[in-house]
Amino acid sequence: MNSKDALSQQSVDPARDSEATLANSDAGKKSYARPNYTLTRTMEGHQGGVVSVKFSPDGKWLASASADTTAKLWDPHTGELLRTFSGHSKGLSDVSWDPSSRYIATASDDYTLRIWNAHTGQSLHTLAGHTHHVFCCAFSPNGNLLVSGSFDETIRIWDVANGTCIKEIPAHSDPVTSVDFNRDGTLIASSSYEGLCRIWDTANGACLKTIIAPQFPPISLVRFTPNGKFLLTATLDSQLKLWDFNACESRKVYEGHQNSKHCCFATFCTVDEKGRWIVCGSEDHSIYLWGLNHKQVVQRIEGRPDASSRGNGHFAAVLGVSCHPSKKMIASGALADDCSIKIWEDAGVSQP
Amino acid sequence: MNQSLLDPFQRFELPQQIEEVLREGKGHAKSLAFNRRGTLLAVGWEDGSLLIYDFETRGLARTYKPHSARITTLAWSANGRFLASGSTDKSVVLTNVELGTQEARVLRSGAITRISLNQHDHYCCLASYASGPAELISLRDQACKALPYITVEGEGKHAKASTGGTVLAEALFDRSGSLIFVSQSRGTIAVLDASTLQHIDTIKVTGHNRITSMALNSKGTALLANCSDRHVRLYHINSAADAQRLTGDQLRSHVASNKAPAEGSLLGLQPPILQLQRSFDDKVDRRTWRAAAFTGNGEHVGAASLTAHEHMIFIWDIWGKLEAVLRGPNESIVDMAWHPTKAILATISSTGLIYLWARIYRENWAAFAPDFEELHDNFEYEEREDEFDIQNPALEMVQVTNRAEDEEDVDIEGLDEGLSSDGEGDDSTCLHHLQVDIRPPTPPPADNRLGSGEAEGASTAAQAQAQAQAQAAALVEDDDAVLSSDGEGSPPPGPSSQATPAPPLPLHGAPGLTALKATTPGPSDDPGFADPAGMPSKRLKR
Repeated sequence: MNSKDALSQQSVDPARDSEATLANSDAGKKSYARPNYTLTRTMEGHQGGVVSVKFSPDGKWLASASADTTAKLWDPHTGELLRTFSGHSKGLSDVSWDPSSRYIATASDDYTLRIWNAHTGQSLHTLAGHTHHVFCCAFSPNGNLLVSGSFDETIRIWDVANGTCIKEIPAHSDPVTSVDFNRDGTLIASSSYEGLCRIWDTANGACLKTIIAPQFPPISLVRFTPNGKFLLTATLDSQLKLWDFNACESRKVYEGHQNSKHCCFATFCTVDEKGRWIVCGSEDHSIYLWGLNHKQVVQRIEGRPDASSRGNGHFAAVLGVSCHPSKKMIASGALADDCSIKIWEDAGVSQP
Repeated sequence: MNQSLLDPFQRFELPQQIEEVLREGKGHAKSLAFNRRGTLLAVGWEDGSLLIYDFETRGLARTYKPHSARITTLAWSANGRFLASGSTDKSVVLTNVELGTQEARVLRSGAITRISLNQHDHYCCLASYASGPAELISLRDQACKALPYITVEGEGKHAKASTGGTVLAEALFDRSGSLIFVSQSRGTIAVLDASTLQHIDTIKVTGHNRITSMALNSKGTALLANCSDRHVRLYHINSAADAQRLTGDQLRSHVASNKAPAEGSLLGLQPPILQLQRSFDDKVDRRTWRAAAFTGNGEHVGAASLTAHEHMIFIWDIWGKLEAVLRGPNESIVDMAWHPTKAILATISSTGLIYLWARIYRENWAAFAPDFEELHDNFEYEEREDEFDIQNPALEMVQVTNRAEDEEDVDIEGLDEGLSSDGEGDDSTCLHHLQVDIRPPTPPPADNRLGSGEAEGASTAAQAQAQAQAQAAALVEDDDAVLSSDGEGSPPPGPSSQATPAPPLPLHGAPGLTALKATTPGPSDDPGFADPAGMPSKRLKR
């Protein structure tokens, strides 16, 4: 991962200050509706940095994956730690829920994935086959397939029911950073450090499209929009882009956060009547929310420089963010030394 | 939703070779049917069991046993939630696909050869028998009504219509469920009104050959009749809305008082409800056909040869041109079905295996690099005047940013396309996928302890039982389990956790989860790592 840092660092624009963006839009001619997420609770328990947090599709649970080799299941509404999934021998990089909210899959640096029963903690399958760190995973919307991306530069498609590998696709020429299924599971998107994002046909593993960001910044994340018509990519030059993948055109660019080293998660918040937000973690310890269409930062959930500073935000880079499927609730997880998970809820009243 | 990215011309290219073989133990498959979207494949077996494959993973999703003898025919309900099956055990069963419960079971007096479900009411079904007239069965109240039939003898003035005792081959609902097509042994297809069972029309097929099977295309606009004169005939279905409904007596008197044509509509309807468009045949070897069916898009017709010891499928386009002949192993074909949305053909051979035919996969290399184009022939390239000039890359950047600044709003939630393969809107009540229930893995320690290969099979049953116990225990002792798993889960699971005695699960009774927890992190599960305890590495095989 580190070899890429130098490359990506160049493209970060030092003049671009997130504070300024916020201030500008405040003073700007147009004022946008803003959410007001405030801290509800902090959940501690992981011994290592939290790299991924995911709300279950039914909204009842929160799963977290950590570098401490475990995944944990939390009740996001009470903050209670319900279960710890231990079994991997090395740190985790991602966790994914199956659509029925019964199983979770974890991707680990020990070259395997595991599928767990989320509610009994039983390890159901160990998916072995990758020849390097497994970095990302995603269940298909029907719950019958799991796709994983690895540092061995392949993506693999697994049969969830019996834990066998159905297909191995030599997808990229650099580590695969992110994989995602579209809404009906017919397409898989993958992104890689090489700066390419590819779309695959789930049925036969055929490459259907390659999207190239100009100047090839490493792509750290790819997500289909909820309707599957666009792709959101995050690149390590601190940019998020929304692509029309049919036309290979970028439609929106979101900037202001800091992301040049880690693979921060970004997601869509579609439950707020005030607007649609893009939510992304940042290496400046904050969480950024942009308006989907006007591209302005509508809220920056402030982080702290260190644990002793004032405030209640994270004090390490925020990698994992997840939006509740039906409530105005955001979960976030931070790297070491913070190692905590925080739940943020919209307080309703706009910030002064 | 991937349609926009697929090559529209490649999507329905015909299959070329056997891509995969589905087999399940020693059983023999006898019948098969895809659901409407092609996500599930139902297969009926010789022993009366019904298997449902997830066609995305090609893995077995459900196993049911609705019958005690061979399942000869299968039919999906329109919403995909029910599956009707007919068997040589003389019963028709409606199975709930998701739960496996029997919604209805009707016992008849003969072996069933074909089932057709009304697409608007899955309790309304047509059953055809090996002998005797087909019946309209209400699975709701088990009421059965034999379909009326008319035999027409002779031609012209000498034609006679009677209700004589010949057998009927097959009855089929049309797509709307308002018409019934009944193929009769003496070369006629009767069109009946589904609600009143009155005659609408009767179509005579050239010669007096038997019609052995019929099939509709996915839109319900065309009908294939597989005739014993080695021809597969394609009929266009015209609307029957204005046609008169006749009773059997009226039809008989009509035949008696009018000249009966040698072929076509007996009543002389213009246009006839079934209009002959074309007929397909093997002109060289004059094969007879086991079955014929339209491809998912309705642009091709496939027919499976009836000849023993050959696995041949002829594929024509609907204009009559022979497009492909698929040759499989030297085994006869028992049943065939086209995938409703893809160019995949499933056939069952006499050995009981299911062959899935697909196109030889060809990589589209241009998709890997958007600025490259795949060339099929060499040609001399003429470069542009400025093609190799050094350009300022900043200019390119500007262009891209400009496009990105496009202020047009995007909608990330709205949907505008239906997924249905047949143009009919899908509502939320449809079932296209079965929920995956992961079977707990066979715990490694039991295997290990027994040590020898032959114990594997014997231990499976015991393990399954143990798993059930373990799960039950886990539910009861939920909190304990959390604690214990927390305690033991500390990484790395080195020799210490492996060294802890792991008795076979059945002995472990209550703290089932704990037992699993202690055993699963063993290095044996991670083949990438050395096994410090020096365990036999036999278990690593997967």
